[in-house]
Amino acid sequence: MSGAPTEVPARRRGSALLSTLIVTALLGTLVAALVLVVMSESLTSANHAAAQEALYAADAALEATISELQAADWPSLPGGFVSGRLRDGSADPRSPDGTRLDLARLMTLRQAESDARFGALPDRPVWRLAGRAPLRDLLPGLVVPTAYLLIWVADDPDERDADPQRDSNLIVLIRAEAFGPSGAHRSVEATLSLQVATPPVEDPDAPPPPERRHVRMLAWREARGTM
Amino acid sequence: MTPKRWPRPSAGYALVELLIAAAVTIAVVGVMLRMAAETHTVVRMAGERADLQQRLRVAVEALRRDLLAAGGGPPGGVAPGPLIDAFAPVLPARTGTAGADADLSYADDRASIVYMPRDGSVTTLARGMSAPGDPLFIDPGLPGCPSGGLCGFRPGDRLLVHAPDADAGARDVFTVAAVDAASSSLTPDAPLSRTYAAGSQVLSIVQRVYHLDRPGRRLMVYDGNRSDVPLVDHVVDLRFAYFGDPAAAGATPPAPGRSNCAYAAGPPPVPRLGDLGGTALVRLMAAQLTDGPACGGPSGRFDADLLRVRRIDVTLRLEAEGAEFRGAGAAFANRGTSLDAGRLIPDLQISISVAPRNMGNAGLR
Repeated sequence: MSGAPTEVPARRRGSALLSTLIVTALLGTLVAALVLVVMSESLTSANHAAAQEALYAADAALEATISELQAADWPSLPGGFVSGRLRDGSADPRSPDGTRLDLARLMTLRQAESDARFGALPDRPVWRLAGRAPLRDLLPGLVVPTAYLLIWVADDPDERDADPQRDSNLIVLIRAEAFGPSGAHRSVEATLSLQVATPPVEDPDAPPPPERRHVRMLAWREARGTM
Repeated sequence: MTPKRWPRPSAGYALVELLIAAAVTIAVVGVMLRMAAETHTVVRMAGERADLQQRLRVAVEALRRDLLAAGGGPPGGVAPGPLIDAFAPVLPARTGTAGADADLSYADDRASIVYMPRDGSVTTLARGMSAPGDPLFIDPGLPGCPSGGLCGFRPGDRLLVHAPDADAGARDVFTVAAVDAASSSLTPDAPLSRTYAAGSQVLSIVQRVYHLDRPGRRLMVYDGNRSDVPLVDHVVDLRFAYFGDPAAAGATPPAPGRSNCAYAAGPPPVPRLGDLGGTALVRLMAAQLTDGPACGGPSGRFDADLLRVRRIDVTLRLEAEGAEFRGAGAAFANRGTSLDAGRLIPDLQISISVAPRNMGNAGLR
């Protein structure tokens, strides 16, 4: 083999390179489409799962609060109830994805949304934050922090006592919110009533039997609030 | 050194050289096309799988949302409380103005759900009706009734009228044809099935009928009136199963001194439903949901066992859209055309259990 450089005519140069580039571009486009499909599907699945978990976390917070309300003092509930189970002392609450939860802003949004619905009347619901905590405070075995929970309480709008801080008809509104990863945010709202039944006295000499208290859910709604 | 000299193009090619060049070109292009086709198939399969998952999510989300809310009644007003206190908010049948199933019928591939929307209004009849075709004169000044207009009711709205604690289960769902603010009256688009007394509740309602269009392989959702549209395509199976409180007193008792389809007059009210034994929820079979006792008015009758429903299981099965991704066998409800085991996307089946939140308190008043 001689060391002489091979001189190729101009019309014969680059055809292999061109073919390679065309094939590479074609396959690259297909692979990019595949990656795009897989990535978007993964993101969609993750977001859907996070939203579902947030909904059920909010519902769990609601149920936990209902169990606390069984023994609570209902007249003072709108103005004074504080959850014993959702009590996070941190000054800087954050959702699982690290987003800081601005509680003052959330309170303003909650009230504005409520006022738009019920009107700014003296008996309108005035919402108050009654509890907040990560979901793992309700489920101690939980390793991954899947949601941060907020509980809001307000008096129902049908009362005519002009005091939204005090309940006089044993009906209150509770709203539970859960903030999950990837911006997931779900809320549920319930109208609850306290049913009190006094068992009949069978033995007049015996001490009176304790009254039976039961919290009844009058209405449950999945709320679509703003954040 | 002298550069190597190529033959001049004008020298031409021999036939053998042309054939060899053509064969090599065909082979190379064939390999390239095969690679591209394989990659294209993989991409299409990924897209098809993603589409299958997405359709499943859409169907499950819609069913879950409506079943969770099923039975939601007025949170305030004159008689707040879940609708299951008065009638069964989930029926195993198609209801509505078009193609409704017969009363007391059961089909496991359809379910009718009603609930009051979150921004809905509620009021009562200010005076009783004298004929089923009469307008409904409502009280626009009650709590739960927005002050603007006639409780916010407008022509085209779907409303429900029922008489709580009387003739248990008697109700009518209708579309408002006209409103008259001067007389505070609503005119239904068709005569109701019966008359209602003063004090009967009138409220906004959402009606959803999920049913399977088997020939078209579509999950349909019907609003009980005019809209019956496909929600998801390529759905090959849909099943609802109902689970109830086994206690005989699983339905909400009537007001003191009254009786209804589920209770004879007390005190305390005597359940007409049988005890199903144990404390865990019991699956209610078709026979139990059609054998009475029957509740309801002249139309829309239903089995009293539906008042004890606490959980509803839904099974959905979807298939890949393209027949080229389906094959033969148990994994496919509808046979496809693919013979390549590597290109099959089996049907996807999912079961969800939903405990309707507004139906959990029945049995307590």
